Amino acid sequence: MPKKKYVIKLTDYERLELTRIIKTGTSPAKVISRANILLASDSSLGKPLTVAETAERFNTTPTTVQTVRTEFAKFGLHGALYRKKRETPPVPPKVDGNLEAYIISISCSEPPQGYERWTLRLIADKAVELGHIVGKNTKTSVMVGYIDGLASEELCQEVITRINNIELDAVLDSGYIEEYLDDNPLSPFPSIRFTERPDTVAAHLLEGGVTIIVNGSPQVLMAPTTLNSLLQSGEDYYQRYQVVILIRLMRWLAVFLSVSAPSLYVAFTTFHTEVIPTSLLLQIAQGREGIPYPAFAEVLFMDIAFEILREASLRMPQNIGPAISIVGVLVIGDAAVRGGLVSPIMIVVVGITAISNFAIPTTNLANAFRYWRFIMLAFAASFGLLGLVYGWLWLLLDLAAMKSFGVPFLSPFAPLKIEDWQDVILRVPWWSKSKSPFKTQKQAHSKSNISKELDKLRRNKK
Amino acid sequence: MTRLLLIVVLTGVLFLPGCWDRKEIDHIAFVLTYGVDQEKPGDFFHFTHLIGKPGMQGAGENGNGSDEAYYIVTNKSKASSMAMAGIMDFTPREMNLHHTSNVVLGEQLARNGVEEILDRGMRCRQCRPTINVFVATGSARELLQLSKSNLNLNPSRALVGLMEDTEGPFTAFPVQLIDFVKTFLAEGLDPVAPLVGLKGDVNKIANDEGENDENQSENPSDEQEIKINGLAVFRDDKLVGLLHGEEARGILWGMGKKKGRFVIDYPSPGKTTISNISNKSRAKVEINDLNMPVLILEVEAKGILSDWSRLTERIDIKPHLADTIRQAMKEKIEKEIKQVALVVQKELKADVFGFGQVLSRNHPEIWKEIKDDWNELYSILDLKIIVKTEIVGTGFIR
Repeated sequence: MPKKKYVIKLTDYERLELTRIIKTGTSPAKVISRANILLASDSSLGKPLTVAETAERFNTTPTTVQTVRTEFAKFGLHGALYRKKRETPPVPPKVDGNLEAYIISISCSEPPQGYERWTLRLIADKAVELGHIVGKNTKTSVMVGYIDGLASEELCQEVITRINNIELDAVLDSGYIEEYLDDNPLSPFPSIRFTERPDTVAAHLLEGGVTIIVNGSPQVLMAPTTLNSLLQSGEDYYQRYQVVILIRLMRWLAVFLSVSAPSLYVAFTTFHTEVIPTSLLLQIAQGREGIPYPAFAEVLFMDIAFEILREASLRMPQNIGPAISIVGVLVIGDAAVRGGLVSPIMIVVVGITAISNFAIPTTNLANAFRYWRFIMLAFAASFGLLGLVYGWLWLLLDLAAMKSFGVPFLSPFAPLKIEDWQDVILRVPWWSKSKSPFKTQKQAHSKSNISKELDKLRRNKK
Repeated sequence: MTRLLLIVVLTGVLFLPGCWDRKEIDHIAFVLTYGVDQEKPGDFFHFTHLIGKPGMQGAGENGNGSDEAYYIVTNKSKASSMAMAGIMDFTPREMNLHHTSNVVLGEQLARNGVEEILDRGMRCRQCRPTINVFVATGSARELLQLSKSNLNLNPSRALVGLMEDTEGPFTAFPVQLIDFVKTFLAEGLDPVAPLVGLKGDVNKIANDEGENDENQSENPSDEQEIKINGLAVFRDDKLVGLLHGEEARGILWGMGKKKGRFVIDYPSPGKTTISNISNKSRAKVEINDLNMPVLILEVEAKGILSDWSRLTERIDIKPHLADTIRQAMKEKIEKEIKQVALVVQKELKADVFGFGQVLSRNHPEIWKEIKDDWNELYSILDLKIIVKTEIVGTGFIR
């Protein structure tokens, strides 16, 4: 089949646009070259150059010229000039996911003096100067960020010391060094916070915290952290405070439910049937009728099934993800009930638990609570409500014993500091709030100093 | 060391209840109401347990069956504590009394004395002391077996609803087991309990005896509904009298338990309805010159004028009309209390208003002397009834 010949006829507007692209020169070279080819091939103002002539004039091959012409005819001006952008990549997304993953978070954090903004090179250089290179083989650069005068010197020194002590062959992500910085390696609870959001990083720095940025990772580590800050989300500060208070209360409730909803179900139905209203009780009894396993096994079965489903759906390509979720949740759930494997109320309980778990804003905290859920379940199944209380006692003791870089994990609840409750469950409006939440025992700067620094910063910003 | 000890002690606590309390919900039969009958004193107790059937509770997928949502097991035993023993031989589930909400005492049992049943109700570990007490007209077993609730899934729920969910009840008031027992144990105070029966039977008896029930439904399909039939009056633990209709209402006024609506015959011809009545009463005992106790019953009643048969007469601009209504209301209440107080005092000799208790508190020295013969003495004492009434909401309604 002979090659089809395309005749290019440009409109005035198109010609103008192409000329603009060539003259301003800010576009990529490829676009400029394509624009040249198109202008040369234009037949509306006279005889155009041939394919070979065009190729020679702009130092390209005839094939390219032919391709550009074909694309113009098929897709129009835009299609010929620019490459088609790929939609969401068909690869499994990362497990950790704020929906908006800002890979640019590094460059948006505060730049060093003398530079207007970050470049990757700059980050690497700076880190080399400070000597923070980890990983024998990967030589990954790590940058410790803090605001001088706001963050306590002790805290910064501690972080830097810990980073210098890292001995690893390869550091591919911030998760690798998190375990080295961790204060409580035996606890499932994180003592360092992750984020991908530049605004969260900025807020953390302004509160006197330290951030650790690892080259090549979108996740910024933030220290110190508390249970309270792990339960906060960046959106909290962009909404009206009345709403935020309700949302935060709901989050604490979600924590409670995600840890103990299944165990409450088991404790109530197998030990304390007297606390369930009579009609609901008979309804539950109806669902349990003919179920071969004890309530505990039923809960465990459904919980594990859900965890598998959750893990699987993270790895699924986006195109079929929702379909599989629907099959998993609706079809299997319904079939399990109809098949007499689990009772309908059980599905409700597992559903509430799962949803509650997703309401916890920090993934690694949510995972810690997931882990505790199974411990609680074992306690509740063996000892009823008393076991559940014992489990919570244990959980709270674990939390109360934790410290993150010298800050008690449960502060400001334990030790109790009412004056720090401005941004805990309540969020007082900005105009009535002025304090740094992180205070180690030997705070280097007095309150007034901090507010002076903050004022200075605010002025500089303006 | 301390820490280790603490861990051991705290963990040890867990084994106090332990796994052996574990019982799957589908291995338990929940008793919703139980009834007790007895023919002669010292005879067998006949127990009737109404058990909720799982799977027949309406909302669920299988709940629309034509089958009953409950089933009834009966057995007899010599001792009340052995009520369950016979049932367990043919009921393959553990009987559980946690969700029992009513106990129905048969009329004959009540006449024989209910002390043993009360004892079981209070001593049993699973039973709630707040369950409702009823006395059945006739036998409790027949009431539970024959009754059919059109609105509720089971007669148990119907009994609770009658006591708790309506504007009334007009001729009875809810009595919880704990209150019944307290009243029974208190000196100089006798218990009452609501009387229930099947609607068909109750109406038939009322017609045979020539009593006219003001508010009778004539729908044959609800002949088997449970109906409140008045009050059962006890002396100590024995039933001594059944009061119906107006008589029961008199007791309610006197005890300060009257709720709901109330009709007075004013202006004649015509009727006035007073609703949302708040009713208080106070028993007093005074010692007169002859050193004899005089019983005084102070009753307060306050209501909203809800229906006034004359639209044209505006009470808000004619305040004397309100006074007249108040007066009519007072007369009516006084009449109702007086009628029944005579019956209760002279015939039944039951001190339901608690004059004896008041006397024992205010004049313990007199009480000591007379307490053994109190019920006899009480029946011959003078009784004064003072009624105060108030009416609000008399404004003209557009």
